[in-house]
This record gives sequence, structure tokens and C-alpha cells, in this order.
Amino acid sequence: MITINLLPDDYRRRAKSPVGMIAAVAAAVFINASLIAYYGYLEFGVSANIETTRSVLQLDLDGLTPQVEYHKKLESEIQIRSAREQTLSEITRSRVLWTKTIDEVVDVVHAGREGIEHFIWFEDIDVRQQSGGRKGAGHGYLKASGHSGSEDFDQVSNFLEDIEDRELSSLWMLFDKPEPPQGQMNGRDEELIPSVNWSFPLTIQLLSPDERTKNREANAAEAKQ
Amino acid sequence: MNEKNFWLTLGGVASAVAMGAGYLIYSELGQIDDARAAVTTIRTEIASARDTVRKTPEVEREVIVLREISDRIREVLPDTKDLLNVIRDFQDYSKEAGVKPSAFRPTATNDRGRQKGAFEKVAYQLTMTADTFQFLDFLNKIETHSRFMGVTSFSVKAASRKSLEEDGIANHRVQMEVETYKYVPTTSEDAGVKIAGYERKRDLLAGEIARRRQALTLQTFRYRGPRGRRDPLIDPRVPARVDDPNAWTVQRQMEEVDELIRRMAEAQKYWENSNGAASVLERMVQRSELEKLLALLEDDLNRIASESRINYKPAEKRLQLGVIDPLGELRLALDATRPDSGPSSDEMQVIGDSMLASIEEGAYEAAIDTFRGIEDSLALVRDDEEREELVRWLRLLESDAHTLRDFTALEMSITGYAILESHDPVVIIEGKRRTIGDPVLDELIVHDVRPNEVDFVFRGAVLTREF
Repeated sequence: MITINLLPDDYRRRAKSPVGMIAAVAAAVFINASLIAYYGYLEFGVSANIETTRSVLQLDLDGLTPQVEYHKKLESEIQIRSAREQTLSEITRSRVLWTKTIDEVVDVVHAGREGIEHFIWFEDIDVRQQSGGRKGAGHGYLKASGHSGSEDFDQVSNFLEDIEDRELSSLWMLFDKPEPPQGQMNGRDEELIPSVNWSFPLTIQLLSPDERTKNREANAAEAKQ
Repeated sequence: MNEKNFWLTLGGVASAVAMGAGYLIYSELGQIDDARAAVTTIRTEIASARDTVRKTPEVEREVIVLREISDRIREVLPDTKDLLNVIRDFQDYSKEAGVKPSAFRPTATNDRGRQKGAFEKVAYQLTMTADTFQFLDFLNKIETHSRFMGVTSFSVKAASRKSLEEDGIANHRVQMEVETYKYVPTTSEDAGVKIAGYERKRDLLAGEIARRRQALTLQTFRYRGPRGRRDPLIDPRVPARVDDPNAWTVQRQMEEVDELIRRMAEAQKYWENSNGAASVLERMVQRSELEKLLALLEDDLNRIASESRINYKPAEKRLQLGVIDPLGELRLALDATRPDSGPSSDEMQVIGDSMLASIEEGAYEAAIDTFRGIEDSLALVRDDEEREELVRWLRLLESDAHTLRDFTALEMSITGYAILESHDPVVIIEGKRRTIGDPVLDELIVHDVRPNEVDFVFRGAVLTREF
């Protein structure tokens, strides 16, 4: 449809400047320009800056990486080697020198002064050392079937007391207290001196490696004092 | 374009541009966040790496120490090949200790797992007969072996009293279990990373390395034998002797036998020294000492036998094996090498020269001792003029040595003298005036007086004393 303005010029509405339009265009341009400027700032300012920082840091990290790898290799070597050292320490720590132990048992027997304190001999000696892993299995023991050559059965107690005597031997560092004394009189033999002897069992339990180490250290500390 | 269209176009274009810019900003912000996160991650990694690297010197030190002590580990627990040598060592040890092995076999280990890290457990069961002290000696040799060997169990069953009386020696039945570990290194264990300045760093860690090596050193014990103690697995009761309440105890019997064995060993030493003597003189001195020692030993053995002092079977056996038998052998050997007709001319000449040298040096006692070494055998020299002359010479030298020794030992104070023409000289001895021919002490007569010297006649010889 075609619209014709028939009003005389004086009555026609004067053509005004399109302020609103200009303002709207200006606003649109401003907003978009701001957005683009902000984007530019982000892209070429912030992002570039971060990228630079990252590059610098990456270089730094790249420099450290071989050192870290070297460190890791050393650590893995430590793991392997220290495991061996640890294993050997465990083996040596749990070891009992049985020569020394039995030699000291002989000393204790000898300390009886052939019947003045006690007069002991054994039919057998049974020694066992265990890992002590299972509950109630213990760490080992020394068992012996003993004989006390005396009329006085309390000499068995004297012997057991000597087993624990710290001045006579270091058996106390390895073993728990002996089991309570008991004995049975054997038949009298007048052909022999002494004619009477009592059979008795000797049972002493081996302490755990930790307890043995603790006792040894305590003894060493005592000796230093 | 009408107004409406204008607005529509403007709105559309402006919105499109704004949306595009918004999208770009949004995606940029996302990228920035990612980049920041990446930077944070890198920073964390760097911090962590720096922390790690800071600890590197400490780790290096630990590796150096572990590398340096690993040879100690290999020494204590060598590889499989050496395990075969362990059996050879068992053989050597059993011979040295005097135990009689009857069986050896590997046993299954009952411990938690056969493998302990790089170590594999190996156990052996040994069966033997021995007395307690032989067994302890054997045990000690095993426990002090440079390779780690632990005895996990053993049982000793005492020899019966009857078998002891019949055999004379205690053959206790022993069964023992010995365990050791094989070191089974892997390739990675041996290939270590190169450490810069290793030697210098190792030298700085010498103290720590020594301490850690020490911690791995196996505890040892020096077994010193029976030391007069009785075997606790032998019934020590002795036969009743109502006639002698002072009969020796088992302990006393063991001690006496040990002492006799020690003296026998000493005698054997003299015999060896005499055989290996560099000179005739030394040989004769050694033999003389040996003879004296054997005479005393035989006296003591006769006394012990006549009084039946030794009746404890092990002591009796030790006496037989350690003293009576070797003494008999030594006596035979000594008699076999003794010359029937006394020392030779050469031997006597050497002895005489030695005595003469001692006398000239004023070592009169040494000259007398030398003579004693040959004195007994001189009586065997007969029907040989040359040697008899040498015997007389030796006896004269011995007599001279005695005279000179005794004269030298005389103490007297000579305080003055006077030598006058046409008068006998006078000397003041012990404050008394003496002249030629005056006796001073028993067998000591003034013979002559010269300035600062007096001659005495002593046991038929003229000897001079200076003052």
C-alpha cells in the first residue's frame, strides 16, 4: 500500500534527527566493542600471560624431571637393598649361640661343686628353636632329663636356682624361668657313690627374639654402669 | 529501509555480534581456567619435585652405605656354589673336633616360607656320635663359620654307663639341624644407578658404613674346651670305696688328669725342640729337661696307679690316651735315639767349647748347666782314650766353673795393704791384718799381695781379687 501525505508543508511534521536510533546504534556498537575488547584482553592479555607462565614452569619442571627419576631409581635400589639388610638383621637377631648356651649349662653343673650345692648329670638334652609364629607355639625350649646324685632332693632346687643365677651364666638373658622342680627317687645302688639319685625334668622356655635383645641390652647397660 | 526494519536489523546484528563475542569470551575464560589449573598442577609438580630432589643427597648416602655393606651380606650369605663347600667344612670340622658323623641330609624347612627376600633357606640334618665337649667344639666351629649358619635344634642322648665302661669313651648320640641361607641376587639388585663423586661421598660415610657393617656382624663365642669340667651327660658316680674315705671326687680326678696331660704336652714339646735343635748343645739341654720332666711324670703316674686314685671312667680313659700311651711312645723313641756308648768326640768338643766361652764371660752358672745336660751320658764313655780325655776335660771345666762361681760369691772387705822390702807384704781383710799364708776363710789362704790385688789360694787354685 502506498501512503501519500497530502498536508501542506507548514502542517507537515518536521523531519527530526534520529537520536534514538543513533543512541541505539551507539549502544549496540559500544556493547559489542566492549565485549570484543574484553575478549581481546582475555586472549592477548590474561591467556597469553598464563601461557607464558606455564611455559616457564614447564621448562622448570622439565629440568627437574631427570633429577626426580634419578631419585626414584635410588629409592627403588634402597628398597631392594634395605630389604636384604633387614632380612639379615632379622636372621642374626633371632639367632641363639647354642655353643655358649650349653657351655654355660656345663658351667652351672660344674658350679654344684660335686654335691656340695648339687651333683647333676643328664640322660639327654633336647633343644629346639622355633619362629614363634603360631599362637602358643613359643620360641623354643631346652629340655633335659636330669639326675641329682644326692640324698637331699632340695639339691634339684639349688640347681634350678643356679640356672637363673646371673653371676654364674647369662642363661637368664635367653630363657624364661625354669619350670617348678619335681623329682622321683631312683633305686638305691650301694655299689656307687652317691648311692641315691633323683630323676627330674629340666624344662626352660626360650624367650622371644625381642625379649632376648632387650635382656642383652639391659645387661650391657648394667655392665657399663 | 523503514524504521521497523532498521531496528530489526540493528537488533539482529548487534545481538549476533554480542552473542559471538560472548561465546568467545566464555570459551576464552574456560581456556584460561584450564590454563590456570594446568599452571597450578605444574607448580604442585615442581614443588613436589623440588621436595624430592632436596632429599636426594640423603637417599644417595643411604644407597652408598647399602652398596658398601652388600659385600658383607654376600660374605655372610654367599651364593649356591659355596653351599657345597659347607658340606666340606662339616667334614673338616668333624675331624678337627673328633666327632664321628653317621649321616647328613637336607631337610625341608618348616619355617614361614622358604624364601626370605633375596635369601633362600637351606637346612641340613647331621647325625653323629661324640662326647659333650667334642660336640660343643663341632657346634662352635659351625656357629663361628664365616657364612651364617644357625643351629635350630639338636638332641643329645647320653651313652649308657655300660657302653662307657666297655668303650672307655662317651659316644653320645647327637642329631642336629643346621640351617643357612642361599643368597639369590636378581639382576636389578646388582645394576645400580651411577652416583656422581661416589668415592668421595663413600669416604665421607666411612663411619656410618663401619657401624652398619658391625651391626651385621655375627655374634661369636670362643669355646675353650672342657677346662677341667666333667661331661654332664656322663653318669659321674664312682664305684664305692669303703676303704678310702678320701678317694678323689670326679672333679679332682678330671683336674689331675688335665694337669698330667698338660705336662705330657710340655714333654712332647721338649722332644720336638730337641729333634729340631740347631746345635748339639741345644739338643742336649732339651733332652736333659725332657728326662727330668718324664721322670717326674712317671713318679706321679706310679703314685696314682698304686693308690688307685683314678676310677672315673672318662678320666681313666683320658689318662690312658693323653698320658700313659704317649709317655710309653716317647720313652721308646727316646731310648731308641740314646747312644749306647755316650756322646761322640765332636759333641763333647762342642760342649767343652761352650763351657769355656761361658767361663771366660764370667757366666759360671751357664757353664755348669751346659755340663749337666751331658753329665749322665758321660758315664757311658769307656775304652776310648780320646773321648775319655774329653770327659776329663769337661769335668775339669765343670769343677773350675764351680770354684770360680764360689770364689766370686765370697764377700770380703779389703781396706788396705803394705808392701815393704825385706818383709812379707801385709793386707787388711775384714779389718784384720793378714800376711802370706794366713787363712781368711775355709779353703781361702792369702797367697800374695800386689798393689790393688791380692792372690788367694782357693780349693787348690790361685785366684786374684782386685780392690
